[in-house]
Amino acid sequence: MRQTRREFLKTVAVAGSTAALLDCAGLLRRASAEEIAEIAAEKMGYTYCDGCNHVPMCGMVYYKRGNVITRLQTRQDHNYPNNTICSKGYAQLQEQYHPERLRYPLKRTNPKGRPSHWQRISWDEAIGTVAARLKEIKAKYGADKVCFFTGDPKEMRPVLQRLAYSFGSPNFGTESSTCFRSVSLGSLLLSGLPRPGAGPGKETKNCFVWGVNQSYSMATAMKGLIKAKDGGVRFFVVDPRKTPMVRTLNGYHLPLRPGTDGALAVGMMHVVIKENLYDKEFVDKWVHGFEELKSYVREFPPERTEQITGVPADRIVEAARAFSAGPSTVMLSASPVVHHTNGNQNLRAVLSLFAITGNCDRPGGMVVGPPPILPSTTDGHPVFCRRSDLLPKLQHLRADREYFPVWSELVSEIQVNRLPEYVDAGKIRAMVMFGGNAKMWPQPHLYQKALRRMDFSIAADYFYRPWTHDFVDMLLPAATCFERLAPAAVFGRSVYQRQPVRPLGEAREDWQIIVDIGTALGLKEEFCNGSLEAVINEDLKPSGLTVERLRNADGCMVALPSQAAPKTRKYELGMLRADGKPGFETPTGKIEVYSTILKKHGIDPLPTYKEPLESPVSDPRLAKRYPLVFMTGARVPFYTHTKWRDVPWLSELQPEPVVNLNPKDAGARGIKEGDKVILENSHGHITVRAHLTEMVTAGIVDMYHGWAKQDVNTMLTRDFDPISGFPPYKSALCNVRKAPDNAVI
Amino acid sequence: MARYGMVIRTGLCTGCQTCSVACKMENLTMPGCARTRITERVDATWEIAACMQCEAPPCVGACPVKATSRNEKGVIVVDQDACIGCGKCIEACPYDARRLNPAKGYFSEPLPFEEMAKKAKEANRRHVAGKADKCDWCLHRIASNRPPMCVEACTTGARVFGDRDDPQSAVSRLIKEGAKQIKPELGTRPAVFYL
Repeated sequence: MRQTRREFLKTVAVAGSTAALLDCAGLLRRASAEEIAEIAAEKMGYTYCDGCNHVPMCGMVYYKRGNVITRLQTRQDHNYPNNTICSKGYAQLQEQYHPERLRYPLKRTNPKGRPSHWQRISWDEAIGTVAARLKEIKAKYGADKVCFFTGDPKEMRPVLQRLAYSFGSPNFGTESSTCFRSVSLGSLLLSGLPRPGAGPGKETKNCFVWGVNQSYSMATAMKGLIKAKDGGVRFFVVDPRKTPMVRTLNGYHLPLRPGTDGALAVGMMHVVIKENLYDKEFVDKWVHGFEELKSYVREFPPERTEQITGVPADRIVEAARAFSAGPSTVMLSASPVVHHTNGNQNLRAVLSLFAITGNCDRPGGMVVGPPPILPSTTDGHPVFCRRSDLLPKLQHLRADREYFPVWSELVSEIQVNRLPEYVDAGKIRAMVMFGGNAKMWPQPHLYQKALRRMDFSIAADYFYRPWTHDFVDMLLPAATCFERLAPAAVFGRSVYQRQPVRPLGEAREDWQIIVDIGTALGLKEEFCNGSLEAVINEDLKPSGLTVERLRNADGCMVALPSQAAPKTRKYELGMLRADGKPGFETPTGKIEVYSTILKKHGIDPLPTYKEPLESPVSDPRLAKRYPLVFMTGARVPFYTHTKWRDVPWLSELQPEPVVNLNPKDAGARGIKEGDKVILENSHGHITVRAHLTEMVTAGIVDMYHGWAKQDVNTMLTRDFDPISGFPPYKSALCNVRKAPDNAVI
Repeated sequence: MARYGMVIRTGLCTGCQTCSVACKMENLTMPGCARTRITERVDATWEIAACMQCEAPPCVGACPVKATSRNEKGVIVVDQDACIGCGKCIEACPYDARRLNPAKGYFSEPLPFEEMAKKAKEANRRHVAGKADKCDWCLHRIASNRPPMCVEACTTGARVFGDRDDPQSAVSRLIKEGAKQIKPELGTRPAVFYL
């Protein structure tokens, strides 16, 4: 059925006489009276999906009888190129009513660091205590000693920034400091644009899928990509694994060793420059440091690049030629390229390849979108978030300043990865955390200890997660995506408002909790004296929309005024710089393949390739004991990080931690499908099940993360990338062997 | 009367599992009773298991009490009230498409939407312990000309459903293009084809 709610209501009103529905074959037909009666017995409402981490925010329809949600469906008039939700979306019905969902505010009655004893308290007591403790810490040590943190979901980021900065702390951080922000930072350094890469457009000839497997991480995007393939776009898949992207998109596979993306990109630039395939006009006019880059890439002829990356030289040449031949675009996900000790430079190398081939903001290349009227909740509007007026005055109090100077100059949120150090140094003493996870970093015990050592910490969540919540003072029950009003669902220039059902127990939506804390802290004006709707209206201000207006639209999409036809080559038109001059928002006004900002900070200004700190090349002695390259963090389709393990519809698909092994590596070790194995390296070991698949290249081991007991993060180091502060989730060394029969998983 | 058929374009399957979970949500099948199962083979392709809705179904003949039958739409259905739970149909199915409903659900108590399904007498969500369970191509949906849930949910459009008697339908076209039945030598004449 492809119909909006309005059309649906109309359908009911006319009761089958003229109602039009789409049938199985996609043809219009009349709805039967029975059908209408069947649908009408239930009421429908709109929300958007909570299954991933709020990107892509897929539209969802729910049906309810009374206050009970009974069924879920994809929102078919949704703004995305295809209209589908994935397994995680459908499984939310089971999560919504999970018997273990938190229903009441809880306070700890025993010391932190042990299995929690919780006591139910009232919301008044909870909010009152939080406000009193934060005020106390502010008075004694300063407001900046409180860290405001969001994990999953991202929805409360705008209002939590507003709280942090209004309270007087610049120390707002998120899980993006292991996720998207490094890509964003690399792009800012290179071109001043916060978001690089784009999916294929109408004129695109080649699409490079660089380290992203959307068939698992964003299944909802696949129909669009398949359509692009059918329309003639040639796909290249750069990935250590032969993911479903290769087969489904008929992709040309460049199977590289994890962590060598930079070498591959530099090697491709070698071909592009040597064969004079680069865009000379663009380079002369808009690229800073091309001569330095040119002399650097000489060191990477295809044969040497093959030696480093494992990608056959002829494939490197073919890909490089294709890249420069027609409008080409690069799809990058948040993470894999940057989850290495040299990750940000590797990413800058990929983006430099893009720049010298003239693919920046040209039709079919990497097109820069129009500035949003309402930004996504990942960022929030700078005025509403108080990033534009309050944060600049607080910058000097940032906890990450001396540790990550490049990051703290360019990224508004703090780099959280050195939280243990911030706590040790007395820079952070309290934490207000929404959907956080203490085990998302390498050496997770250090983060648990940091939480425990704080004077005061609270968490809001759907469930009690011992590995995080045993280290906090208070646990608040968060409302789900079916129970939340804020924020509005913003999809470019279309907006709609969710239609929440009554929450379970006393669960409360994150925005309301934050508004309540702000009000109790005395920030009455900033938080509209506790009125959630008034605060949402503040957030909506740039659009002229209000809660009332969206409510009257009854869940339908409300269109924001569209702007003039989108333009490309905006750098020529002065549309990419705040001062309106032509060029890019970088110190030189050009694309800086030679970064003046990195130079200022004493970091190599060229996108130089360095081996991962722990690799067969950089540490051959260690590689003798641990000959396999260990990568983790790549998604499976039905989990998102630690989420969904307690939702049986999903967890029955993979009830135990599984390591993916190439049959050759398994055979050499006498390992069979389903065997219990020990995965080990010099940092730690875990016991898991073996799965044999040719999806992983021989010599590489791939293991999904987020298991509470068999935790991959205990096998990884805190060797952070000096530019971004990102941990090397994808280039450790390891070995695997059969576990004794009595080993416990 | 339409003669329904399904074509699964295996080359488009990414193993995302949306079909199997969407089916769970739609039909609230019991633990262990997934009506379609996607498993990865060692060569990183996907095995897609489902009921073939055979035209000559061995399960129907195997049932000693005629609780399972091929209905007028060509869909193999189970009358749970007549079923004695002997398991003969499960043994007879060459496609491993049938299960016996377990006594226990996913949680110790039914969840609110499960209670509500009972109250509203949603037939497709009724599962009696000890009785045979199988895919019915979402009869409740095709009755109102909506495709089975797994087809609607498929993220790549790998599953196609329609009328095999209509030469213009997508399924007819794909069968003509070479979509094949599994184990045709058994003479079961499946209505599900793989391409």
